[in-house]
Amino acid sequence: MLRLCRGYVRIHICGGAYERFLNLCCNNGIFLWELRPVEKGYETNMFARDFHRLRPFSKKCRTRIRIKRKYGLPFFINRHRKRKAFVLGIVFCGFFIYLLSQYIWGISIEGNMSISRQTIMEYLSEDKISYGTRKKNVDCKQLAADIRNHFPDIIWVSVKMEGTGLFVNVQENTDLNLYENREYGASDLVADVDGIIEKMITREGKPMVSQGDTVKKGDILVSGAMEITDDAGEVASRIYTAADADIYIRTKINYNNCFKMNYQAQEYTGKKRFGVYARIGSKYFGIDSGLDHFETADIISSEHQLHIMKDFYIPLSVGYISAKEYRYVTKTYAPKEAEEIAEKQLQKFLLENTQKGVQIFENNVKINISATLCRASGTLTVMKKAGTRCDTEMTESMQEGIDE
Amino acid sequence: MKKPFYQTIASAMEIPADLSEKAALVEITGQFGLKLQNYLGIIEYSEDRLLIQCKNCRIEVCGKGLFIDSYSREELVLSGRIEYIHYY
Repeated sequence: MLRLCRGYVRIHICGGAYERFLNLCCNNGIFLWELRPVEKGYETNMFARDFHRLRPFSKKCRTRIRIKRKYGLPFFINRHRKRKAFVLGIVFCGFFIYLLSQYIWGISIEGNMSISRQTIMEYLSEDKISYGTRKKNVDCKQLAADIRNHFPDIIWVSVKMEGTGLFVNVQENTDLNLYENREYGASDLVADVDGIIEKMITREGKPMVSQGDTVKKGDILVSGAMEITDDAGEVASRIYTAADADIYIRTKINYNNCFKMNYQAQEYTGKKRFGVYARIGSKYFGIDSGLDHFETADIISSEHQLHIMKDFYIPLSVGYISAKEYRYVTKTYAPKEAEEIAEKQLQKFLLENTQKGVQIFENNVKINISATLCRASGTLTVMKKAGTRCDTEMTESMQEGIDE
Repeated sequence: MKKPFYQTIASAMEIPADLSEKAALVEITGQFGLKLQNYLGIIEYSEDRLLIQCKNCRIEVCGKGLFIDSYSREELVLSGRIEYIHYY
């Protein structure tokens, strides 16, 4: 690259003492490269400036020097010195690129899982930050703080600007314990299902049931009201607290799932259409080859924003759309097929529950297939964490106890 | 053979030979690359043979398709298939 900027020539040396000529060049600081022996002499590259110093050497060695080709910027400029519009175009292009580089043309959001990109982009546009915003008007530190304040689920934010891109990296809170770390008033834990207590660990409150007891929905499992008795065994005072315990109940849950044996399937006709488009800001320019002709079709599009180098985005995107036509056809599941589908749906349900921490002991689900319907129904014996929070009911006598 | 005095001093002070005696430095990369330093000039050059004059000797490099990639006062870089190197 440096050689091209300085400009160099490829010369042909013939006649006389070639080697002496080369040694004279070398000893006088002339750098030669790509030296090749050719028919009747040598060919080599040297810088344009050094070429002008060759005359005394060639006279001494009685060699003839001929320029075969010229390379580099000085020769290019000389060849196109009359093309002023070309030069103006280059200058204008450079200025335009510089002007574009003062604005943000690419926004990247990473690390978000439950909060969608659209939500964050909407918040940014409320803050007047979107495509085409001046980089000077964006305060990365303030923006990071604002995002953290606006989205309570986000625990860490990093905002940085590189080139013409704004990069927002977020970290969401995935620790469920933090959600539960709230302050509750006096409250009990009551059963939300019927079943048998399998395991119980009480941290706060008075346990009203124990392991092995059968409970019904609505029964108090752990009470938030704790009585303090004196030496005589009478209630001296009462303390109210938020009951806290881990209670696991073995219970039966009903599973019922059905679907029709006849269904509408998509059958591709084999017809396809393609289109390309360019987008500048919110304006689209495209070549449409009849994408609207299909009544029903799968449309897949991919869009890429153009950028010079890694972070220098420009406000131009190109996209490609393809459409595959299909039509709806009524089909019927074969009995084995329907059974497989019902089984898959049941397994999915079991997996979702297992991921939530539910242990499954028995599976009594049966799949029945008729001419029009496939039904999977039955009961599942599971062990799950139970207990919903409910405010402690304070009776009058309890209120008197408080006053005392 | 008795060493000259300056060589004795140079070896006692652990000065490398390329500095003290201006010995030629030859760096060979596999069979296809050669770098030469501390030379005086080219005596003969063709596609099959390169003869270089150094301070105390001559170096002959023989092979096929020998091309000089760069040639300056400090360094000569040769590429091509090198078959043998001979010191005169």
